[in-house]
Amino acid sequence: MTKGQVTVETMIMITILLFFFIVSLGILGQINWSQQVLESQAREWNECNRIAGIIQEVFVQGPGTQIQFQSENDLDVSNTFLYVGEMDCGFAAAVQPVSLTSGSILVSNSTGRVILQNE
Amino acid sequence: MNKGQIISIDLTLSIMVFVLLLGFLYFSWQSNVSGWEQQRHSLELEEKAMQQARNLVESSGFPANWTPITVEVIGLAIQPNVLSMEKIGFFANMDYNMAREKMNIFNYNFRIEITSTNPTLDQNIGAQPSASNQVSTIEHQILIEGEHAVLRFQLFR
Repeated sequence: MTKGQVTVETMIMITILLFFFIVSLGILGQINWSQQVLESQAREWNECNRIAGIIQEVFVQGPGTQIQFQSENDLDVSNTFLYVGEMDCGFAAAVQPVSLTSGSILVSNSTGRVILQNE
Repeated sequence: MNKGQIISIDLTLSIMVFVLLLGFLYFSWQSNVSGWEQQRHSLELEEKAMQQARNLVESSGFPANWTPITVEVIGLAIQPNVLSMEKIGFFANMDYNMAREKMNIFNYNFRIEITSTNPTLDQNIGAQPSASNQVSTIEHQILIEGEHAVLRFQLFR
């Protein structure tokens, strides 16, 4: 071999190394993405359960009950489910369906049915 | 070999070991994720059981004077922890799937046992869980017709 050349073995080795690095990057990227998704889901699920608990409390306590809270997420409330981001949770209460934006929310019970509204 | 050189086959083998370790890390992570999912489902079961049990013994339901025809949400109470014999009767005679629908527990099964100092007030409502079911059990002390009783609510799947 003359100076400045590389052997075929060296080129094969570099190709293999590159392949392994790409695979490693892929695995680490997948783990990182998966962790971010899980974190977001856990946050939304906790928030969903917290708000479902508030709805339940206002329903059980009966007419005259009001609770005000802050939410960082937009909410969708149906007759039986609460949707926060990608997560949903159920509650056992009579609720007026509504869609709410994030911010200050008032949950009230005046007739036995729970009403949620943005303040 | 001269100073500063590496043998290509050694380097390749060491990189392979490194990638294998990464693969192991990835599969460990995936099994943690599925563990978290299972834990979430368990917590969900417990949360739902507490919600439902509380609803039954503290709320009169909706509308407050509900009947099997008008019921939207089932509650058995006249006042917190004091249950109505009439509503218990309505609930006991209700279709099982309708009861699940009104309690918003579509993906679960339930069993309610009321045990009283007066055996004529005892009730067993719902399905029986088997040994393979995941079960969450909540008990409340209640009064029915002036008699002390225990309501045992089981939610399972």
